[in-house]
Amino acid sequence: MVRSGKRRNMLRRKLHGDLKANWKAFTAMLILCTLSVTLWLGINAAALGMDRGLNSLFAESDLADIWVSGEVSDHRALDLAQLPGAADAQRRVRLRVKTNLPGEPKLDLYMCDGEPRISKPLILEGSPLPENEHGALLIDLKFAEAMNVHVGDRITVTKGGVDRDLTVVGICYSPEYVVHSDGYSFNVDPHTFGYGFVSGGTLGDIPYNEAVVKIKDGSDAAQVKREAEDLIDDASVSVMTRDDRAYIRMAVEEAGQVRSLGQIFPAVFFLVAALITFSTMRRLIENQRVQLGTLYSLGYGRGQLIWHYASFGLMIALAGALAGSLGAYFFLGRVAMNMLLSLYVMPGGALYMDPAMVAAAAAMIVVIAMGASFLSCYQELREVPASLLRPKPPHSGRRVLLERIPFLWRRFSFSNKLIVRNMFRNLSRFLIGVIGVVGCSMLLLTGFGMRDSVSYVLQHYFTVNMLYDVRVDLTGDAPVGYDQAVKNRAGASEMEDVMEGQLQLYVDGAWQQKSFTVLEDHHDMVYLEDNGQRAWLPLEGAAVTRRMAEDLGLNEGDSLRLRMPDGAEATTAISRIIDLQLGQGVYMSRTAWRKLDALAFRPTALFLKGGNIDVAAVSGMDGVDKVRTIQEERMGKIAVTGVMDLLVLLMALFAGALLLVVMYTLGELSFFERIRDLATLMVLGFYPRETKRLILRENIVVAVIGLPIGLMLGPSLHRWVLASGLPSIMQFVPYISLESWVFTAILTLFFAWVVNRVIGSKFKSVNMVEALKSVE
Amino acid sequence: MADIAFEGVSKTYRVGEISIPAVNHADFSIKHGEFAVVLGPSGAGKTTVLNLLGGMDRATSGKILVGGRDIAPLSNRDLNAYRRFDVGFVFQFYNLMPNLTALENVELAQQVCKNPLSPAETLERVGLKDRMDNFPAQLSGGEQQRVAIARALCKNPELLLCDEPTGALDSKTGRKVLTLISRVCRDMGKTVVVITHNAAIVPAADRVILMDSGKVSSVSTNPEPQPMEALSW
Repeated sequence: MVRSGKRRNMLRRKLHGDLKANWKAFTAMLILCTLSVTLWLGINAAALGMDRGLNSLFAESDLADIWVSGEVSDHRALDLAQLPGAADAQRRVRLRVKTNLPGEPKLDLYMCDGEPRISKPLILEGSPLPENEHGALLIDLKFAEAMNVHVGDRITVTKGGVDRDLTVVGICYSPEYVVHSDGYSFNVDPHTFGYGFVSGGTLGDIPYNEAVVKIKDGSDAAQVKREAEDLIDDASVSVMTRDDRAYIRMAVEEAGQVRSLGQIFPAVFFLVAALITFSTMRRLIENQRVQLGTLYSLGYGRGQLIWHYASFGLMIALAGALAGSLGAYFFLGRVAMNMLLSLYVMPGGALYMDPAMVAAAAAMIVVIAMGASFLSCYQELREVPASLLRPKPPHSGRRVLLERIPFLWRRFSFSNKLIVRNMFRNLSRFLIGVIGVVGCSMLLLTGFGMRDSVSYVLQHYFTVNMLYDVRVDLTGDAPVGYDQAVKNRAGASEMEDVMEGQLQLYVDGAWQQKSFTVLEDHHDMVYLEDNGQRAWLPLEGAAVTRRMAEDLGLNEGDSLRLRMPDGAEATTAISRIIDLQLGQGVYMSRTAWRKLDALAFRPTALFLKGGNIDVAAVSGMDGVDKVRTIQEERMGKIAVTGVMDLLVLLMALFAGALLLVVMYTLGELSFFERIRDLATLMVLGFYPRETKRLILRENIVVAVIGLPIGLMLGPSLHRWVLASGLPSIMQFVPYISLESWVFTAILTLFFAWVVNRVIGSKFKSVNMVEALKSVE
Repeated sequence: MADIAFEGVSKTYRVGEISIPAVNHADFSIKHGEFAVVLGPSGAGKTTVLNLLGGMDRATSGKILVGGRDIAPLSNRDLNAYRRFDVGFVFQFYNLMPNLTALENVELAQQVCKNPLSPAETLERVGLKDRMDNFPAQLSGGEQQRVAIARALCKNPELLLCDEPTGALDSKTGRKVLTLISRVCRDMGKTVVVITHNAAIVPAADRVILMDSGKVSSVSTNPEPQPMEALSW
């Protein structure tokens, strides 16, 4: 016992010594292991955090499964609650009001029939609504923060000329607003829009205009929706499930999309980590060939020795798993989560590290690192001790295929021939290097490209597509002819009417809620495109945006069944597919709309153009809901790109680390392998510069071969990430700017150059005399 | 003219806090065109002398005159140039580039010199006319050593330094290699220094430098050296 204890101790001491002596190579291994785990856990922790956050918010507030709009009587509410699949139903009033706060922001106010039971507001601060007291208001968190509203403040709201004084009793949140939206655009500036809940009776004698339904556990929302539609049998009442509510659906899908990103990136890193660990362990063991033979001949068992070398892998893997988990929790996961939280409103949302996933990541990296160590060790130990004690015979030079083409081969300079032969001799290593460069440049290009694409979408939308100067949203009760009055008051030179809203589209056997836009026949201020050409809305039939057409499987010529907000149905055909990056939906010209004969054209917004438009004069007008210049609209969206910058930086960081580690490891490997060659060159009188050129040009060749492949494959990765990573309200534009291409190439070559500098600096340390002393 | 003179040359290696004197006040000289042999048991400092003479290592003290120039105080770059233009090396283990053919190995050296000889002709001269396109692993030890000799000669150096050139060869092959070295160098008028622990070649040398424990114990000249072929060992 005592003896075996000592023996293990000795091996362990050797292990420490080896770790110390090869610390750079092991650090490279450690970095790759850490990065792999960080990426995998970090992205998934954010995705899981989002998933769990949504689920707990949905559960806590008893988020409705079905929304029924339109007037709901007490009787109707009871009927809804008694549908076979339904568990409960509640009526509520939904009313959009104007507030007296600076900028006159709008509020959507909800007043439930009794205490809220379905889609309850979650109280974040203050107290719930009192039961028998009028005038109490729960205000939403984002609005409260933006407008600096606190519990106890009083707010006056106006609707139809009637003022009501409300007292803020609490700050709340409803997952119906997981995307802060006024129903028209996503991520609305909270300075202009918010929502709240008021106590019963506060809004007076207004009829309940919405019902929310909770379904029984295990029932199918789509089924209950059909039952509700049959029950109501009134086309003017729309029934929606969570899937029909674009923003709730977007949030739920986002978690899944992030998770799919969290699979492929780490997969690349895990693969490279395995390759690098294998190469590093291989070299260590080959260097220790004679040591290994000595230990073997001293009587150490094969299992003991394999375990000894595998424990290098184990130690590094465990350290990597630990560091990676910490990195995921404190860094990458946070960043990814913050990015999600900047798009979605989820109070209390935090990243979640699934212990099972942490264990899986650790297990995976341990298997990879130990497996690689084991394999490389096993190969050597198959030999008998005596042959291990003999140095390995020198490898044989080989003619490469290229030499069989004398025409080309003769043109190669001497050193190029040497480089080509070396590359082919270590084909696998050469390939790992190329994979590293390809992976790095793909990641870089994708990172830059994502940023490009998002800013391209915004830039394109606001400078190419939308050509107005000011957009004026009208309230629903603006009288006919009001548009001219607004135009005159604003001093605009041109004006176009727009009608926007939601309609339902019959696709795949179900009604789906989509937005529609009706423009003037000559929509000069809205530049629509079809494959780069200006597209005018047809005077017959509808146009559909490309992303929506693709998502729904619609094609030009398909017939389209529409249901208007008032319930009227109409049928038309898709006569055009148009490109519009933001604002997916159905677009029609005023003439085509009139031909539907379903709903009268009534402008909901105006586009104004002119040198000096008086915004202030217009915004005070009664029928005017909101006035924004195109610059203001644009600024609201640009916050998204700020988050994107961080993401791009992260990707560049990971890509750079990947390349540095891979090229460094490979460079060091071939350096060690060729110390003898190097020494020979030095003895022959080659100057250091010439030696470096000969040995290091290989790395340059790897970079130069890998880079174009990476640049070629990069756009596919970029497209894939865009398709699975961007919200569906954007048409994906795989746009990569020239700068990004150039930056990617420069950065990749720069990383390769840095590695060459580091490896090159080792050349000084070569001791000719020592290196040539004996064959090892 | 490459007359060689060691004047009070010492070389001390420092390993941690211990100093190991490898060469201790060595004095000897070799005349231009001579075939000199440095003889001694292992650990006598022979290789160190050769490394110092070849500009691969630096003396701790003393003067190393080659053709009248002291190479001991040269800068790294000048030492590099010295190795490049003035010295040819032959090692015990050949040190050929494994993935270059015989011809290419010689061309490697030819590339960097001022007045190189033709690589193909040099290989022919060492008797490898038919093996030029073989890789080192396809050649026998003797053949590899001949490639190494051709590589050294092709640079057309004044000085050819051989460190146990026959150490890894069987005696028959070893003799052939030595014969080749001595014959070619006499033909071309090169100064040759051969390190060996094999006393059998002493009769063939112009000058014999005997070393022991880092010191030169005797230097003797041989007015009438025998041809290498005539020796028996």
